[in-house]
Amino acid sequence: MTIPALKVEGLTVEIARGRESFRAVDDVSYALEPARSIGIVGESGCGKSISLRAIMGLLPDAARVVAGAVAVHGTGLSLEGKGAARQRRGHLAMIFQDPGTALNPVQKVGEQIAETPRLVLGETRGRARERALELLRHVGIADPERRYDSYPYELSGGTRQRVMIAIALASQPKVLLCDEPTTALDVTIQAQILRLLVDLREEMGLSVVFVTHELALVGQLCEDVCVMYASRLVETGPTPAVLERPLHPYTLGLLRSAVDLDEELEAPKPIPGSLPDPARRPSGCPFHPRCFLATPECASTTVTLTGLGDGRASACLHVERLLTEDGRALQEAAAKAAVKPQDPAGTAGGDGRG
Amino acid sequence: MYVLRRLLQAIPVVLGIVVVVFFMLRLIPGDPAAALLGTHATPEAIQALRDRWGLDEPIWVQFWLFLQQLAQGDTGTSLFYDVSTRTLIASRIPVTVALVALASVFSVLIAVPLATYAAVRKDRLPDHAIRMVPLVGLGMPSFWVGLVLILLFSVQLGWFPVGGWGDTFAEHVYGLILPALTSALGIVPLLVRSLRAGMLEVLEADYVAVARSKGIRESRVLFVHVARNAFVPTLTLLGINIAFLMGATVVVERVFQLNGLGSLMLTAISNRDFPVVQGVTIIFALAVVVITLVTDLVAAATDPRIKLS
Amino acid sequence: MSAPELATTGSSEQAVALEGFVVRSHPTLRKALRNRSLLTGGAIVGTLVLIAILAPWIARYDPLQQDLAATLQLPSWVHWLGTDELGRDVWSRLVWAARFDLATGFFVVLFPFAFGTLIGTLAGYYGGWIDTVLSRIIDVVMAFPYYVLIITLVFVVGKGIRGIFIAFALADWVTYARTVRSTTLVARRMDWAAAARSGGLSDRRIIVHHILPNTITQAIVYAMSDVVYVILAVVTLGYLGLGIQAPQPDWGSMIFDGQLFMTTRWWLSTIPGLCVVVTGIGLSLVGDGLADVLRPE
Repeated sequence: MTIPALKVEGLTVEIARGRESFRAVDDVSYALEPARSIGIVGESGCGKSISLRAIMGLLPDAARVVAGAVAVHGTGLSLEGKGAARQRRGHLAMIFQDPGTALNPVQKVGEQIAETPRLVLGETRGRARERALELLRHVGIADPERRYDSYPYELSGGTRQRVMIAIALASQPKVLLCDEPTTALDVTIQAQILRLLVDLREEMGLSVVFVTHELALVGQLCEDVCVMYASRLVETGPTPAVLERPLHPYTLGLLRSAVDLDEELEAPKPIPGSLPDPARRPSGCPFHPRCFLATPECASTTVTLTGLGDGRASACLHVERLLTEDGRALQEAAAKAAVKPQDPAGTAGGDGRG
Repeated sequence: MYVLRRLLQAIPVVLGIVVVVFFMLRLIPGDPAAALLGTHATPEAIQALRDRWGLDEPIWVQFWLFLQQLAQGDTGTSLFYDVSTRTLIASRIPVTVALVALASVFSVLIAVPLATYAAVRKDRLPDHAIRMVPLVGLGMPSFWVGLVLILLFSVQLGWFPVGGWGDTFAEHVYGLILPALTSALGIVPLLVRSLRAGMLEVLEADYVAVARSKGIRESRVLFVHVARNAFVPTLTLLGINIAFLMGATVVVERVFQLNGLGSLMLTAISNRDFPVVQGVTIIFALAVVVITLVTDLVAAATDPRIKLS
Repeated sequence: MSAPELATTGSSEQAVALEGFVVRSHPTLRKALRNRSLLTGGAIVGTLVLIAILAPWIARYDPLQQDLAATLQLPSWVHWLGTDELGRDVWSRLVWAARFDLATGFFVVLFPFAFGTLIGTLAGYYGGWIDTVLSRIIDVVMAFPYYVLIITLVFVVGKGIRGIFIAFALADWVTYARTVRSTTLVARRMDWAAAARSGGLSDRRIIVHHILPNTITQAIVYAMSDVVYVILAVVTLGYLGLGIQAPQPDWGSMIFDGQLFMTTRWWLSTIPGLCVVVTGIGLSLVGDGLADVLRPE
């Protein structure tokens, strides 16, 4: 058995809001094998980005890790304190969602890249500059000599994200954490950036954690997937198997709500209801108010992620039904039944992305 | 390019200031010459003043006379001292410049640490305490703050002189500490309120998280990434508020018996010495224009985005 | 003591009934009643206004009544805050000064508020050369340090209450105009404004019914801090002898008069200043609270 590139165990993060506090990440565990990638999927606000920031040691002031451990290649990382982020150099690097806010607006982009080799890896000024130029070329930026002296506002969104990737690569990390790296970009640019990430991963043998709200992206990029709902993981497993036969009603819902461009032009079908406020999480299985399989027990029974063999796991009380019956057929039947008795306009309740 | 455009923008403002100050004389109800010289003035004296200011000439001739004087850095002869306003004003400038400069330094030294501390400790006790500063501070009249400081530090503790400017450089600085502090406290509440919001924005910005994620030292994160981004809003804010600060020094000079431009203006007002009032007013307004210009240019040199807009 | 207690119970019952009846259907009012800044500030300002209105009954002596046989007395049951250098009762002068200073502060901002909002709306809505000219005028007025401009204007048009009104009318509208201009610029570009225009509504109707309701809240919020600035300026003018004229009591002139006796009768200068500070705190709280309540969700 190999040592995982990144191992997250029981990660739990609490955020203080006014006088109360709530769990934004609750008992999240996964292991990322070297040179593989894992996708974390869920609606906005489910805690997936916060979990990445916790791993990176970059939690905002109001948030703190209350339990859990993170190890890179077997080395444990401290999760709090001022030095937490520094400890990750050479191990972890992160790509942020919005390159428009993630680059320092008053510093030349070349200097932002060169900062790591110069100050962290101890290169000379000239050597650091060469390294930055090399990285700019590597992430596919034409005319790096000229771009080195540009300020972020002078660059397009796609180019900024390439710069962001170059900054991440500058520390020569083994694991790359990507927080929705394409969400803020135009569709055509998205494809280019994804291509770049795939190529870099192959070339450099990186291990990647890819956070997104689009299940389809995970299908293209990641060997494994974790589905997250209301701060917890609800289903994990190898991506092809999960997409082929989801074993949690929420995963089924995500698949059904996704816009599929290959299929005939059908309107996406959102999951009824909306993501609960993390401070007021429903009892029992947090998904039960929106679930088509829900029974009264779901509201009272605590569910945990349970292994099902073949590397798969689900946190559904009724997983047996999904294993024996056709989940998609159950879902369609439930959807049809739901439309009739109720006001059709009132059932949708949000676009499912929160 | 930006420098040139910014300079051109200042020209209409300067012209406007000149026009406003010129027309101030026309705001005096009735015959300005008679009003200024008072009820005991002889008709001959009033007529002499009317002739000197060309009040019987058409308005554009009067304006032309005013501009000619102004071109020589003057707004006429003082009615009270019978010397040119230029001489009077020049002798008072050093005190006021020193006071404004020291007050600006104090306001930054007080406001920046307070705002930063509040932002870093957001929503905790220090933050709540510091957020009371604007609330209480905005309603404090400068002259009253000055009196209270005199009462505490000069009368009770005897640490500072009650007023005055002294003779040596050391005495100048020493004598300016309380007045500068008083003037600074007038704008500290405004600075703290805006700076706290600005610091929060920078501290919570993604690019600061990115800088941390690089693994560079925390001190570099703070001094290079946070400070440089927080500098421009601080500077702009100081530039905007310095006009208010200069206005406050007028009263503060009176409280601390400093012979600066403010005292000159107030004395001129009690002497009904109109040319001097005009001269001081125009000097203050031009100083504001110059300071705003300089802060804008420095801000543009620091933040590359400004040149675009 | 029983009568006032009864009255309080009655009014609080009324308030409860009111809350049930009106407040539930009125979200802004409900927000206002829950806003702590607004309530605290409202209580402070309300008390001060009440004192100002009831000055003739709260003051225990005629504020102008001199008693040269009893000058500079210490606080006692006869004179709660002692007497000043002319033997006038300090408490009574303080209360009457509240009346003059608050009234001046509130009434002085009315014209700048209305005129500045109008100018700002016109400049922001029509744009073009109107905007250019008005913006340059605003720039010019803003170039003068606030106190320098106010003091000079009061000197030129004549000191005292009339001078104060004219000076602030000339100098104080610019901040309103600038604030309202920028919010109007934003509002004008909104879809609903474009829709109203393409629907063929007259400019006047669009401004009054669509733009102003959106921009005036900013002006109202600023007006609260502006009352503080104006009262500060009026008190400052009083201190300099240019404001409310003697023998009429004013916090500023009281501070000036007390200054001479600072070493032995420190409260003569300190307490009127504290009154200004408390007024400032109250109005700032109201301003902060209003900003919260009126901010669109």
